[in-house]
Amino acid sequence: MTTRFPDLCPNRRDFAPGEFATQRFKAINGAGTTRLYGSQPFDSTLNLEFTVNDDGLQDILNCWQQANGAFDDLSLPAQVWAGTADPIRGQIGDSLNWRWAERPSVSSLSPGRSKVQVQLIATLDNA
Amino acid sequence: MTVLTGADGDMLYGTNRVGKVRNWSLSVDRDAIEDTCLGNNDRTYISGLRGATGSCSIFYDPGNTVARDLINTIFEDQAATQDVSFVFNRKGNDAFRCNVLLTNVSSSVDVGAAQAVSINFQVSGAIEGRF
Repeated sequence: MTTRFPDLCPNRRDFAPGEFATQRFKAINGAGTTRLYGSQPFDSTLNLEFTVNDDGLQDILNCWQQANGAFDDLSLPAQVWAGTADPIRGQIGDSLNWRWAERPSVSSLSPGRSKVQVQLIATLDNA
Repeated sequence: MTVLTGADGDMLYGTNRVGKVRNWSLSVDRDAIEDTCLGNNDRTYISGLRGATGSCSIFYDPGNTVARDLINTIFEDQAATQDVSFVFNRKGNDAFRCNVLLTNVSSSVDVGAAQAVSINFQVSGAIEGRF
């Protein structure tokens, strides 16, 4: 099942592309070779920061609950990628499934206002 | 309506007048929390918490018990907040009333000058009264 991530605009976004499964084998003389064990990257990370009112906070917490934490995958709205061009989004990889990497972290700023840190990971499933 | 001057102002500790006040000031601040969305070119903000600080200067007079009581709260180990009113106009009862903690008391003695005590306040809680 896929859970939709709430349609909120982040204040900050940190993205790291996925890794490739490689292994470096090194001989005793220092020479070596690198083997590739898969054609698709995996475990991209996306850290987001939101400043939200109580409705937005409830949406994020509901998403965490409905996805059963890191169990179900997420569909991310276009708002998450606001400010980036489509070719950049294409680098993220269609084969990956976003899911929660950590629990959302909530800092209360003032009555009705919170800062929420969201950490997501894009996993390579059933490949 | 005429412009008020310092002669119209006053300062109260509780309901008692603090005599020989040279000046007072009160500064009210509000946090601005940034909520700029990615993709925007202009920063946007929402209002955050409000706070206020103040200060005053009082001519030192050992017989001025109201002022001395206020000043000496700085020496109380578990000092409670003090009820202070910053009065714009004694006749019109225009004032800011608030609970304050004394955060600094400094005095100086100079040859040829009246002795005065400077006090800094941190306001705790809401301020009653408006401009």
